[in-house]
Amino acid sequence: MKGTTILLVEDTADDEYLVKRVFTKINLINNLFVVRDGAEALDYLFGTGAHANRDTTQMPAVVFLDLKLPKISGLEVLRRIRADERTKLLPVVILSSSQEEQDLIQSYSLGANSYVRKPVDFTEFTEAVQQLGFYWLLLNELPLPRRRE
Amino acid sequence: MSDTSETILLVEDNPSDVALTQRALQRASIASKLVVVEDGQEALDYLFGGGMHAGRDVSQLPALILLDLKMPKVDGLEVLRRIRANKHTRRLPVIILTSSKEEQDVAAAYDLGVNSYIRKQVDFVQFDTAMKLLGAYWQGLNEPPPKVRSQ
Amino acid sequence: MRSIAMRFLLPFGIVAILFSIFIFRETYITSQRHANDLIGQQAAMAMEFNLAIREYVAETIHPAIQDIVGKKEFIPEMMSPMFVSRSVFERVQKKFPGYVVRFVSDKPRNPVNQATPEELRIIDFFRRNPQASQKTEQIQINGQRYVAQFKVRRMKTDCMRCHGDPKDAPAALVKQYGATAGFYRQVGDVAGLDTVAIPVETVAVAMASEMSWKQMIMGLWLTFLFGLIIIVFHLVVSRRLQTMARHIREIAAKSEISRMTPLEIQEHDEIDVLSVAFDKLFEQLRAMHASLEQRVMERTADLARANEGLKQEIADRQRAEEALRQSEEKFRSIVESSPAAMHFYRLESDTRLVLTGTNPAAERIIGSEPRSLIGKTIEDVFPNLRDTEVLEIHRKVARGDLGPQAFEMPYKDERVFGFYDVRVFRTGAGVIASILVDITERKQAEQELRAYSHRLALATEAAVMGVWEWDVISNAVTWDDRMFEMYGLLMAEPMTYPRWAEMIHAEDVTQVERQMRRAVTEKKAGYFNFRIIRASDGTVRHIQAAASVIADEKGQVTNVVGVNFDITGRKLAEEEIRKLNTELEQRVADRTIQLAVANRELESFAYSVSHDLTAPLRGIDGWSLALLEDYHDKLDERARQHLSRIRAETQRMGQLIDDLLKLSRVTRAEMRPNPMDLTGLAENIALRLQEDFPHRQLEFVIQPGLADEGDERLMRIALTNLLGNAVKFTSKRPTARIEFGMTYVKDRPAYFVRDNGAGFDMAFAKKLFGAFQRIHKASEFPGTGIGLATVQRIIQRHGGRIWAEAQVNQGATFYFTLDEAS
Repeated sequence: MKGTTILLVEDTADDEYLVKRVFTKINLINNLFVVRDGAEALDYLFGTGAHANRDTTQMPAVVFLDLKLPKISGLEVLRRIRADERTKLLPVVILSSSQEEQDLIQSYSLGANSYVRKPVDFTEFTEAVQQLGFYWLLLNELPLPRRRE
Repeated sequence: MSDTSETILLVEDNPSDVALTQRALQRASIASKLVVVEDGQEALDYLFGGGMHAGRDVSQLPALILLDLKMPKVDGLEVLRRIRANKHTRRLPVIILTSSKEEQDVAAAYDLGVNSYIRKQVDFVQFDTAMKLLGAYWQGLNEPPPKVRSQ
Repeated sequence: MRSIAMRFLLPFGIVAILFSIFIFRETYITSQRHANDLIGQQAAMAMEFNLAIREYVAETIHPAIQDIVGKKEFIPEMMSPMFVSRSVFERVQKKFPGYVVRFVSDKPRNPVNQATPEELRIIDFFRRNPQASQKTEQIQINGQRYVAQFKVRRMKTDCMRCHGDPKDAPAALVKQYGATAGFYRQVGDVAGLDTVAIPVETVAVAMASEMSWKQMIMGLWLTFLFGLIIIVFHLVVSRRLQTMARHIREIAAKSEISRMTPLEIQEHDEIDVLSVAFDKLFEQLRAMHASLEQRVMERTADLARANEGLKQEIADRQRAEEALRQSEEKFRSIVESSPAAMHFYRLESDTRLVLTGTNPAAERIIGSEPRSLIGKTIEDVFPNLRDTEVLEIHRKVARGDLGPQAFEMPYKDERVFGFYDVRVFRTGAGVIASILVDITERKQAEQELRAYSHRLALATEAAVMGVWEWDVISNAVTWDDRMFEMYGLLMAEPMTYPRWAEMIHAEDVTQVERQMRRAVTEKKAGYFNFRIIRASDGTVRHIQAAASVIADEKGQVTNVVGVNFDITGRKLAEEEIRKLNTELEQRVADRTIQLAVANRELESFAYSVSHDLTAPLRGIDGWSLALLEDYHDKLDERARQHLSRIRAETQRMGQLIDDLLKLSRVTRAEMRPNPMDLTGLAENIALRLQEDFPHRQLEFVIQPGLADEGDERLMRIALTNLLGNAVKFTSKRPTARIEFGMTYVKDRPAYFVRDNGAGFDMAFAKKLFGAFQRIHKASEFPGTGIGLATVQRIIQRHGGRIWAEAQVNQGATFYFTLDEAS
């Protein structure tokens, strides 16, 4: 099956604005949900805190995760996603400006599906966001959601 | 950005599909070298230097593996399991590229830690577009894991 | 303890220090800005002066000398504006050392004018920006900071005489500097820079020394002011408050309140007002103390008077008691002579009733020495009343929960046995009288009559059964004729309890005897089933028996009477049904296994269809497209059309396989029923459809609050298909109106999806739900015809039904029910 929502975990207002702009242009803006920090991302996925009323059987198609986040770091968010039965199979793409080889190794070791370095150039960034959206929303197949027994 | 001249390993037993995939990748201007192996056993031989690939320099890993599921001898899920079990190959980007989107296949692939699961469409134009996006994404955008140095 | 001075002065001091830091900072910044302005002005003035000298040399002195010495001559000391201005400023620099005023060039004629690397950068800047003419910058020269102003000088036409071709230049010039340096320049090119640089430190240092003086004076002032405030505060506030506090402490320590000295009052400010208030307070205290003593004396007199009254009251009370005692004596004699047994009790706690007295008649009931029982509880007097209703009635009456009571009761213990008419009534708070009249004889007569009618009734009822009677004391058993028939015995045979017991099936005998014993000991009827071996033919018969117990006047069981009924036929039928049920269950289990096998086969079939059937289709489509693309020129129009058809059919086949797999998945999927919010589900799907068809006018009307039990995942597929169909078949309408709700069809709740679309002819309604069945042309409404088959499969798996009502061009309504069985 194909998913419908992308969860963007991003605390930089500039990057968020750019991603939203691109998604508006390619008509996928309704499929984008943005949270500003790691704690809120986990709240959204597991239906706790401010997102306590969310229907958690509806998981996003993919999570775009920045590594440098306030409160709970991106790697910690990834670790908790992989540790929970409900989100174990959820595709997670690390979207980061980091140049550290250590970040790459840790991300893949914790089970990130992909790691994309945010291009600095505006045109390249636009292009990248467009490809990310199309690839994970339209091309990639998702496992059916697991149910709680 | 990664070196686009790196190798893509295509594991596919149907020659028609191999030719179509090659054609689609060429048309998408993916410059990578495509290495084709015909079944799961050969894929493992290629990666770990056994059988007819004995003596191959196994430190030269492909940048990306496109893996079919239903194959004679060793099937795609088994290949994926062995790739993930080996410390040199466990972070390699592996994409399942197959005809089926049966729930059991998709779930099993994600369980074993596949990076992405793409369904081959009957419509070649859609297949073509998919390969183009796939090539651009994994050979252009995605940052591959650094090579694991042999201890 | 922190003093007021500390609390008041510390923040004040901090504020003062912060304020002065702020003032110093402000003055420093202002003076710094002022210094920079000053340097800028000086630099501009020096620049203007420099330019003025040069202009004067070029326009006035140079022509004048030219007229005198002739065109060929050139005397730099007088005629070169550069030379003159440099010379003038060298003199100035002697007076103001550190000031730099010079003209530089990247290609100077005179090596003195060679630009430093810093200046070369500025030259380069002006070359790149032809419209710029001036630039001010801070630069470093020999490690010192300078504010420098640069003015660009560009080559003009009249400069060309001395800076163009050396052939045109004055011979003296060539002679002095050679024929290369400074020549071959072009009009508009950057000739060089006028630089005026003024050292920053010179001005800044002067400013700084002035600043530090001012700061020191201000600091001293602040310290002095602060000290002054501390002293004044101490004199005016702290000292006087301390004096007052000491005074109050002294007063508090004195034991005698009347001896207080007033505080000394010097001035009339807030502290003095406080002191006066304290004095007033002490005055008040003194007055209060005096009045308190007065009131104690008055109170003592009051108490003495009250005591006198009390003594009088006690004497009155004693007289009244004497009268009461006499009346009681009269009452007692009545009680003593009464033939009815009287007991008096007092309620000592919620449940404890204690005997307080009896009359002589009571002796006949409770024994010879009733006095020994006085002070005992009612349970001690009548042990067998423990935990009975009668006892509870006594308690309730004693508590006042019940009015006077009258009832009959049997009572028996080792002393007495009999029936009594009982009256219980309250004689005071928690005190009751219980009066018993013996009615035993009357009761015995009544009971005999009742036992006789009981036996009679049972015998009549047992017309179709065998009736038996067992005399417990003699162990004799009496059977009627039917009992002998039932047990296959000759009627002549004498019957006893052991003879009956030995005919009972060995497995049942213990249980029957136990039940019989229990009926006797508990004195109540029993019902039990057992098997017997019939004496005449040895067959096993199933017997259902009932027993009823008869007791004599002492409660001793004398007889047990009962019936037997042969239920062998019914037992056999039951056995048969059980066997059939077991077989049926086995068959269901077998069928379930077969179904599971079939399901697994179907699953593996679907799996291989999914993998193997689509691959060749992709080949056909791919290579057809390859042909079309690679041999486009060689193929004629017809061949290209054929190939396009092949591709269209292939893709359709692919779509069919996909849809069939979906259908089979719905069949195979495991049902997981849970409560589901159908309204929410439909709203969610409607939202997606609106997103998928942004150019359509889709109006969804979804009934709120619909909820049911079912598999949400399957139901989502079903509703997606139904709502999606509605969207598809309304595509020719300007506005699609699609409803989802619940109604009642033949008194059963049914959900419906209604649209205002193309509808269909009801003649085809039967074909609607078959796989691959379509009733619209593909060109009109595309589709594979599997969607509704899938929906039907899902509804059926929920135990429901689906049907449709429609008219051509009038829209269609699909109804479905869930779980019709319940």
